[in-house]
Amino acid sequence: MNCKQCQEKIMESLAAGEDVLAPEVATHQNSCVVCGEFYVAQRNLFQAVDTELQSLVNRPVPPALLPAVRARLDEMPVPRRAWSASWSFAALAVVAIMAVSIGHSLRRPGSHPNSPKATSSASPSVSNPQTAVHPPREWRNSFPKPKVKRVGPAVSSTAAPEVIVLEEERQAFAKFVAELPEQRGVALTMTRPALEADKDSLEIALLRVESLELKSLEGTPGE
Amino acid sequence: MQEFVLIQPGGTLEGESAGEIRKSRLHREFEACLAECGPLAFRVAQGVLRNSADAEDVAQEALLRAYQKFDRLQDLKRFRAWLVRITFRLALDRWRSTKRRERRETEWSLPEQQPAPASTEEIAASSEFQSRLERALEALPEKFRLVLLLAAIQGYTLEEVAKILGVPLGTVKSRLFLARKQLVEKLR
Repeated sequence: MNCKQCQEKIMESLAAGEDVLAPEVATHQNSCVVCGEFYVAQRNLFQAVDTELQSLVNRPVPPALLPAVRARLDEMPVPRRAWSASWSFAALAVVAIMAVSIGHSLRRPGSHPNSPKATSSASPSVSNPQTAVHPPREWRNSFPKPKVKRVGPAVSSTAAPEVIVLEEERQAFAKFVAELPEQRGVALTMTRPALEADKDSLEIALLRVESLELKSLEGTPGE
Repeated sequence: MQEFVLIQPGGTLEGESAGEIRKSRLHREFEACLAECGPLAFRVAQGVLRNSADAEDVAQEALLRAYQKFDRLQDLKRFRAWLVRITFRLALDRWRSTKRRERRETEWSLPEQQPAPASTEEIAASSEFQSRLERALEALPEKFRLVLLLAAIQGYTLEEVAKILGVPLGTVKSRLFLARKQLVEKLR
């Protein structure tokens, strides 16, 4: 072991707070004057550092410290609970989400019943490709075409009657129309509008009860 | 019209709000922590600032901050570690602001006379040793500095320092070894 290695070992041993040097270091330090002096100097330096640090941090605590803190504690407001802060934040978040969702739903065009989209979705012949029903051409020609009076777009959206058609009814109607080519006669009979002559032949007769005997209410002999 | 107030035995008056009850409970719990850890806060601040008046101010501030967030502390056993961290941070901030102020004040003064290099024995024996040690301490990394200060406080073993810092004992020993080595190398 040379002097440089020995001094490094001495430094490491003193920095680690070891009281006794390793045997090979102690042997070299005892035989080498330079390393012996180095050891003594470094040991004194470490002791001085330790003494100074201990005197620095172990000074007496001022007696006014804790009373001053207590006095200031009494003036302070009650600290908020952690859970209340988190819950208030959660409540705020819920309110914000609700406000956003309500605003979004109000601004959606199909959500309002008077909106044009809602009105058009009530009819089966709408632009929705999944529910739009197109009857066969010959069947459509068998009915008289209704007279459509074209008006402005602003008037048509509000003047048209509102019919709410359930989704199940719409699907059933679509199925019915799809099966029309197979039972066309039945369908025509069922969907044919009534004629004026058929209406005139109807007669409403009064109900007659012939075997009905009316008696006045009288008390029995026992009463 | 006469009013009657029903007071149940062991109960509280209607006027005593829940906030006051909670405040008194908090006070009781914090008082126990204050008596135990108040001196430690002062010593940590003193180790950083090396000035009793400043250390007292910082310790007070740290204790009040700890009280403000005392409810958030779920484990009271961690109060000591929590307080040490708060105090160390506040003390470092105070020390930095003091240094900045001193630098501004001495900006126009004459440059310091650099002393001639002296031997190790002379340094240890001289009156300048304390100021040299302070400068060497300031140059240390914060984590080394804190370990060095806590290990120097009487009554705290390395195991307790490890608990306070929330690190393994081997880490404390390693940091302490490196801190002492660097400190002495700066003083040589």
